[in-house]
Amino acid sequence: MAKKRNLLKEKEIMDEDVVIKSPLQQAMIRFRKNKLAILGGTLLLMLILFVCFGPIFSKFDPDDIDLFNILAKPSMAEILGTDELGRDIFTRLMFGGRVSLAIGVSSALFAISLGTLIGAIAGYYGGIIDTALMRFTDLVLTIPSLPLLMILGGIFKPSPALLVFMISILNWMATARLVRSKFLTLRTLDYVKAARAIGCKNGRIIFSHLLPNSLGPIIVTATLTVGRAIISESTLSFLGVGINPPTASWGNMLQSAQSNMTTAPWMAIAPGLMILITVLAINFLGDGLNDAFDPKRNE
Amino acid sequence: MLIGVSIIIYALVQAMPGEPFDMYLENPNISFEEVQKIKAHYGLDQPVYIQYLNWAKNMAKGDWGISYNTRRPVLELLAEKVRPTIELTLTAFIISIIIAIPLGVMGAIKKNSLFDYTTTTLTFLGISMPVFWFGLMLQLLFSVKLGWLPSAGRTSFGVSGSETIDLIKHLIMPAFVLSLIYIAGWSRYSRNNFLEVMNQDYIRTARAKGLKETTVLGGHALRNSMISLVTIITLDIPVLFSGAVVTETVFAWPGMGRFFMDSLNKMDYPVLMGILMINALLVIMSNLLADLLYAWLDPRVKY
Repeated sequence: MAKKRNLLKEKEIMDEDVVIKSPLQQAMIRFRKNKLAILGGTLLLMLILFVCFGPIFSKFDPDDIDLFNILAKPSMAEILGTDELGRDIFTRLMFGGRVSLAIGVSSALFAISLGTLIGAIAGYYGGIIDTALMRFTDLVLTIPSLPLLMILGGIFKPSPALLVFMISILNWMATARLVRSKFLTLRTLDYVKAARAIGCKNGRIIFSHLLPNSLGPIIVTATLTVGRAIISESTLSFLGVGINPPTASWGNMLQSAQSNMTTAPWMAIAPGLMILITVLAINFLGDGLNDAFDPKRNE
Repeated sequence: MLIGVSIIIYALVQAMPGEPFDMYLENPNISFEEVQKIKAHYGLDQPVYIQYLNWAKNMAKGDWGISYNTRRPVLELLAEKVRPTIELTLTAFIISIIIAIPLGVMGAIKKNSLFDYTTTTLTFLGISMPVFWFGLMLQLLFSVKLGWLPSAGRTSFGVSGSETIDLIKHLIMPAFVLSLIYIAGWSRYSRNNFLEVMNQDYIRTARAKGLKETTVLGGHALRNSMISLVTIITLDIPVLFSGAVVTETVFAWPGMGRFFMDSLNKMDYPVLMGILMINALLVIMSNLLADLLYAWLDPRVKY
């Protein structure tokens, strides 16, 4: 009996020691140990489910104006009350969340792709191309982004797609720098030299050798960029130069909240709380991913 | 650098639909020719690149143009608005430094303690907070519910008592709102940075020499961790300045940020250009300052 238990123990030890895990698997294990990151991920998943499927169960239309029932207090029928046009805030919260999350995620994707492309080209080719691209990056970094976004918003009265473009065009620089420095170190490594020696084309070296090896930091920045993009969108919409009413977004739901603050404080609380929770969840997740991919950072 | 930025900004501002002075066309007593004449007076009938060259030439000479709305020189208008903005940003800057650095350093010294966990979580909250909403919530709590602080503006009419106290009462909320994100960011940075420094060999040497722990921490570790922190803080100055746009709008603070918002609604190009250029100038200057400070604080860096 005792012998059998010992054998079992040995087997377990063997399993842990002998099976060599890939860097990605190791990262997954580290990630799962991080409670805050798991919390962030779960929260985010719940939020996504809430904005995607919540509206199915709602009996209100987000743009349904009810002038006989404006600024109503939260009640059983309207859980979070109504706004200055009698629209149900809870329903608008879900539809606004769709807009805010979609804009956050797509701006981040676009910004990261652009940044990765520029960083990859600069880091891989080096020389004049590198200098020119990095000068350009510095130039864009010098432009004060919030005032500029406000001006652009004032000019174009942007549609959601345009807003995504605007936000991402001012958010790619950090990624470009990151990818460039990663590429600069990676391209001197032996396996890249080997790939070149067997005649791989530049495109193939970039996409199948360098890029997969820089994926960790890229994913981390991507996550954090989603949070920043959501804040940008809501700030612009709050100031009246982002998503235009009647389309709801978490930012523009707060636009009229300030003038109604004394009579209807509930209008101001819920949308902002949603933004805070979402961005917080994203940042927890991003931080967890960062620790998972870069274990040396916090030791 | 500045020229490149100015070209990009100028092109974008020019791309705005609707031209200044078109509002006069709505008045039946003003003829179309009259409006064309005033546009010609301000050089708006010329091609964009000529307009840009004129503007850039005047800008270099210190003439930033005339505001279309008030017909007063932009520089003079901005000079009026700059004081409230500096009051606000400087207060926020000082609050941030006073709170952020001790928080970060304490967190690093007592790593993994309850204090450390609390501040780390709080900094996450600060980084994730939408600034304008934080402002709204403070207004709701301290002005609407408790009535302790005025919700907006810089001064109130007919104050009883000292004017300075009135100003400070108005300043507390916007300054704290503006500083929140920097308190969070800088304390996080100084914590991680301090931890990094603590792992260095010279800290071990100092301890091995038998120096008191306070000397090691306060003297060796703190001074070394300040080097890169100072750089980060300097680089954040222009961001602080442009972040004031939102805070000033929420709290109706009569500074440059709110003026920017007003001018945007009225399409006052010269004013918008002026404010953007000040911002870009600040970015470049703080970059330079950060480099210089870094070289001065860290003797290893040579240029």
